[in-house]
Amino acid sequence: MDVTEPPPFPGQIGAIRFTGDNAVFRRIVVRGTVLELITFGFYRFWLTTDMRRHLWSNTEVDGDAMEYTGRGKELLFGFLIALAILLPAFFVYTLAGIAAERTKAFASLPLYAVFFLFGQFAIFRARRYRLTRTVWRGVRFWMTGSGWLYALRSAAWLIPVMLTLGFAYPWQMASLERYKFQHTRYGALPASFGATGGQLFKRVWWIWLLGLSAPLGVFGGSILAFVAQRNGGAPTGGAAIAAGLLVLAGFVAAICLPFLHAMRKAIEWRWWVNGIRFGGAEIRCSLPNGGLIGVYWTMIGLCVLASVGWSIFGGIVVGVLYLASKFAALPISPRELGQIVGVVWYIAIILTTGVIARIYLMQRVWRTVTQSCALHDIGALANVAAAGEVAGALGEGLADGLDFAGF
Amino acid sequence: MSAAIYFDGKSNRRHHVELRFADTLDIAQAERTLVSWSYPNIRIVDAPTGTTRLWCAGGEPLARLQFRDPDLRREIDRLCPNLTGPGGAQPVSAGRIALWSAAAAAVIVGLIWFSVPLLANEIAEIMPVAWEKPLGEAVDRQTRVFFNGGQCTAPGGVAALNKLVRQLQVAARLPVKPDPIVLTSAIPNAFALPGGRVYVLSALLRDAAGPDELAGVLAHEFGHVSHRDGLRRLIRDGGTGYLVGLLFGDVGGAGAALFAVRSLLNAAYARDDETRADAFAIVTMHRLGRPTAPLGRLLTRIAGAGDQDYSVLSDHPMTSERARLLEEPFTGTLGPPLLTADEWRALKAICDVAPPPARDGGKTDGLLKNHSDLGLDPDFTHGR
Repeated sequence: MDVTEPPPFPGQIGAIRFTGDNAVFRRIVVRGTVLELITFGFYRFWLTTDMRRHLWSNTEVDGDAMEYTGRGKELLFGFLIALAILLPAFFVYTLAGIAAERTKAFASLPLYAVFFLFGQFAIFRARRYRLTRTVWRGVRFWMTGSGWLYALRSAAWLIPVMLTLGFAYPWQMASLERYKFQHTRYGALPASFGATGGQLFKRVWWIWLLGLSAPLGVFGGSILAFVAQRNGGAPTGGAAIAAGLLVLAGFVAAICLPFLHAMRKAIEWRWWVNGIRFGGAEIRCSLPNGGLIGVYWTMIGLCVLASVGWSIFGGIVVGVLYLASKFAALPISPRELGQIVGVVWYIAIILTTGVIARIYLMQRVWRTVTQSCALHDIGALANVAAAGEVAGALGEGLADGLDFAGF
Repeated sequence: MSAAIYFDGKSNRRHHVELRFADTLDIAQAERTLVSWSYPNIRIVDAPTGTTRLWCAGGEPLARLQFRDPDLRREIDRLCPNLTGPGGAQPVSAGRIALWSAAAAAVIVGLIWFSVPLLANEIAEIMPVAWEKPLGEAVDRQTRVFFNGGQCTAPGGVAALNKLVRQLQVAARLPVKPDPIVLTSAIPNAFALPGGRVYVLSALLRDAAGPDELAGVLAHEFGHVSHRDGLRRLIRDGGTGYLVGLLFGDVGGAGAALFAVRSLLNAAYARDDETRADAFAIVTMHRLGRPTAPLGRLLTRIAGAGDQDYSVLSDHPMTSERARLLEEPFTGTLGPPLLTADEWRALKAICDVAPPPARDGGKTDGLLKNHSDLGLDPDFTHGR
C-alpha cells in the first residue's frame, strides 16, 4: 500500500489562505509596543519576530501552513554586529565629510550615497535572512546572489528614475525583483520573476501622474498667486483664477492621495505576486485595484480618531488639574505640568498610531493579499529536495542600524 | 495508532503516517517505521490554531510531524516533558528581556554620562592643534553660507578689533592669534566653533556699551578656544548621538525622544564648558587689570529675565548666576582702558560699509541661549 500522497493532476490549483485571528495579532502588537517602551526599544527584535511568526504560521499554502524559524535573539546579534561595522563606517564618513567641506560648503552631502548603498545591501541581506527562516513542508527557502551587486544595480536605477520624475520606477522594480528571484530557491527548486516593468507601467502611470499633480499643483498655484499679487497689488483677473484653480486641484488631489496610494499598492501587489514562479508553479493574484482602499482608509480614520481621543482626554486632564490648582497648591508649576501632560500626550499618540499602522499595514494588507492568491500547478512543487543553509541576521541588523540614524 | 502528516526534512513530500506510542514515538508508514522520536526531545513548533506541529531536537532540523486531532495532542502533552524546550517555539520571557534591556540602558547611559566626556577630553588633549585647522576651515565655510557671508570689514573697526584681540591673546596666553570675525546678523550673540574660530554677530556689537563688555565676551570665547570646547563638543555629540541611537533604534517617535535626551545631555555638558569659559574670562580680564562686571551686565541685558523655567534645558548657566560670579568686585590694580573712545567708536561702526544685516536665524551655540528677548536695560545702555 502506498500511503504517500498521490501526485496532483496537472494544472491542479492549491489554495492560499490566511487563518490568523485579528485579535491575536492585535494582542501581539499592543503587548510588544508596551514592552518596546519599557525596554528602551530593545524589544523590537522580538516584536518583529513575533509578528512574522504569526503571519507565516497562519498562512496556508495548499493545506499546509508556512513556518518562520527566526528568533529575536538572532536579530539582536545581527544588530550588534551591524553596529560594530557601522561605527568605523560613521567615523570614516565624518572624516571624509570634513575633508569635503574644506573644499566647498556642504560638499559632503553626496556622501549620503554611501549610506544608500549600505541600505540597499542591507535590504538584500535582510531578505536573505527572512527567506532562509521560511519553511514550508519541511523544506526551506534560501537565496544566493551578492548584496553589493544588488546595491550597485539599485543605485544605477536611481538615475533614470530621477530623470523621469519617477515614471521609470516600474522598470526599476522589475529589474530588482528579477535579480532577487533569480537568486531565490525553494529547496532545490529555482525561482524566477516573470512580470515586466511595462506591465506595471501600463497600470500605474495615471496614478503616478495624478499623484505628482498634487505637489506640483500646490507649488505652481502658490507661485502664480504670488506673482499676481506682486504685479497687481491684490490678486485680480485671470491669473488669480488660474492660481486658485490650481490650488484647488492640488488640494483635491491631496485628499485623493490615500485612494491613489491604496490603488497603487494593490496594483503593485498583484503585479508582483503574479510574477513569482517556482519551477513550473506560479502564484495568481486576483486582488482588485480597489482591494486595499478599505484597509488604508480604516487605518487613517482610526489614527485620526485616536489622536482626537487622546487630545480630548489630555484637555480634560489639564482642565481638572487647572481647577485643582485653584483650590490646592500643586507641587509643580502649571507650566511644568503642561509640559509633562504634553510629553505623555505625544507618547500616547505615537504609540497608538504605531499600533494601528502595524496592524493595518502588515496584518490586514497581508490577509487581503493572501486571500486573493492561489497557487497554480502545485504538481511542479511536489517532491522538491531540501537544500540551502540559514543565513545570518547581519542584513537585518544593518537595516535597523541605518534606520536610527535617519538615513 | 493515529494518523498524521510527516515531512522528513529532506524533501517536501507529504507522508501520511501512523503514530505508535511505544518507548519512543514511532512514526510509521505501511508497517515500516520511518523514524523514532524519543519523548524528551520532542518540541512544539509554530502552527496555525488547531494544528499541532512537532519537531525532534537532535534529528533532521526541518522534519515536521503535524496533525489536528485534539486527543492525539493530549497524548503528546502527557508523554513529552519538554515540549517547549530549547529549539522549539519556546515562549520568550518578556521579564528577562526587560531586565537585560534595563542593564544595557544603564551601561549606555553610564557610557554617555562618564566615558564620552572623558574620551572627548582625552582626544582633545592629544589631538595636535594642526589637525583641528581643517575642521575650522570646513566649519567656517558653512557658517558663512549660513550668515550669507556678510563679514564686516570697515578698516578702522578691524584695526581696533585687532588691538583688542592682541591684548587679550597675550593675557590669555593663547599660542595662536584667534582672529575673530564679525558677521552681520540681527541676533546679539557670539560663538566659538570647532577649529578655534570665533564669531561675533553685529547685533552684539551694537548692544555692547563699552570695550570692557566686548572684551569680556571675546575672553569668554577665547576660553572655549583655549579649552578646545568646540572639538570636545563635536566628539561628545557624535558619541552621544551614536549611543542614544543604539538605545532607541527605529521605534516610532524615537526621533523626538532621541533629540530630547541628546539636548538634555548636551546642555549638561555645555553648562560645565560655559562655567569654565567664564572662569577663563575672569582670569584673562583681571590680568589686563579690567573688571568683568561689564560682561555680566551685558549678559543680563541681552538675555533679559525669564530664563528661569528652562534651566535644565539651557545650554548655559542661568544668567543671574553667571552675572553674580562675573560681578564679584575686582580688587587688583585697574589697568588702562583697552581701547580709546575713538577706537571704540570705529569698532562699533565696523559693519557700516557692509551689506545690510541678514534676517536669518543664528546659531544657538553661542554666548547667550535666550536671544529672543533683548530686554534692554536703559540704565546700562545710556549709563556710560
